[in-house]
Amino acid sequence: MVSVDEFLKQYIADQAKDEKWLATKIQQKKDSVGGLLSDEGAKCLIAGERGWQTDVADEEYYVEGRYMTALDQDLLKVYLTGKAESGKSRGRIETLITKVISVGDAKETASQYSTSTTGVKVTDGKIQTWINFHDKPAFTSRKDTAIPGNYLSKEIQMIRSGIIGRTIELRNVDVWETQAGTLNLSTNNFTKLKVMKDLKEGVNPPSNKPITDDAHTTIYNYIFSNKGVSIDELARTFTDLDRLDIELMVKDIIDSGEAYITNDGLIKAM
Amino acid sequence: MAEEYGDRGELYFSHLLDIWDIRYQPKPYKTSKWDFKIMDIYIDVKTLINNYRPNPNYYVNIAALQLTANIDIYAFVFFNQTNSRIELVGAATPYTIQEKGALKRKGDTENGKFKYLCDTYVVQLADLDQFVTVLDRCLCSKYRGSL
Repeated sequence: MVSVDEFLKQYIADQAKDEKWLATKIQQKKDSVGGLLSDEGAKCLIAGERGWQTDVADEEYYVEGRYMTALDQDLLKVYLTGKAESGKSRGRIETLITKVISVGDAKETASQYSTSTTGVKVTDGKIQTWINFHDKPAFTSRKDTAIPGNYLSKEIQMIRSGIIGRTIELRNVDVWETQAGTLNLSTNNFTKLKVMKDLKEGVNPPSNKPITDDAHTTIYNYIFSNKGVSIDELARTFTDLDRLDIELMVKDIIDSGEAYITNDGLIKAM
Repeated sequence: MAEEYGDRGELYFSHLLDIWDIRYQPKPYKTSKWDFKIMDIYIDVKTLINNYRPNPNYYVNIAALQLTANIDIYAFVFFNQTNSRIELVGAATPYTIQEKGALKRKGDTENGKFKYLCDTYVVQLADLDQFVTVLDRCLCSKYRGSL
């Protein structure tokens, strides 16, 4: 993606403008909203008005070094393994990593297999779909095995305030073919839910301090001189830098393929 | 009726954007989930109807089902029925609403008078930021993301 600065530089060159023109435009933009915009924000608006666009394909597809599960209907078909008594195909996804977009209200159900359901809208960065989180009561199987209950609708409702925008990992998710022929995702008695550590943008206001090349190099060198460091450790070591800045710098280093995140949440050099 | 007030709130908000010289794209159709788009920042305008002037101790609410990561900024507009005055009282990201707001469950009551009809987030007016400040944060994230 072309950066805002690069775009504006190119625009100035193409339109035979100069830096003074840009400085005036930035000041005008800031003045028009009573000075509440930062230079970065004003530059972004000016570039946006002149055709600069963020690359939508740059969505994060991975978290903690693992890729999100593709939710395309055609790709979900690979998980279908057998047919239910109703004749519809079904299957199971062992691990599903996805980002939560919104959480619905819990709905009581009269079914003996599920007492309550919560719809959760999720995305893999491109496709958005719903997963039904069920409250599954305990029961005894035909082979006389006691199957424990799994109350994921209640669980997701309990953590509802804080889950939107976060990435979750689900183990053992059912894939069902509906009457309409589309595929439906739902939890079962064995589904496990884990909320992953995520880079949540927008939570902490970014500082006005620009990220300098020096700061980037310092973080880069620290990661490469240690066997594995956490974001917390980096934040403790480099107190003069914003935590969000550190997270963004680490993301850049990982994006460039020079480091990765282990399952323990440590950043290691490749 | 609520739809009519919502339209008034959106119209007022579009006037504000014009005054601020911020270019925007209005919602493409009536039932769109978002009301305005500034670059690729999606904004939902929530109009709240009451009979009083805004006060920092007041609460704004949003149905929990409507809170989605697809919207970047929720802008809250007060419509005072007594004098037909409209005012932009603040804005927040879905993350701020989750962090600073309280989640009221369906059936919960407020002072035994008001009953919540669905799960609802309530946020104090004092916890909201000015719209341009929130927009600036989103723009800064875009700026840094492009580096």
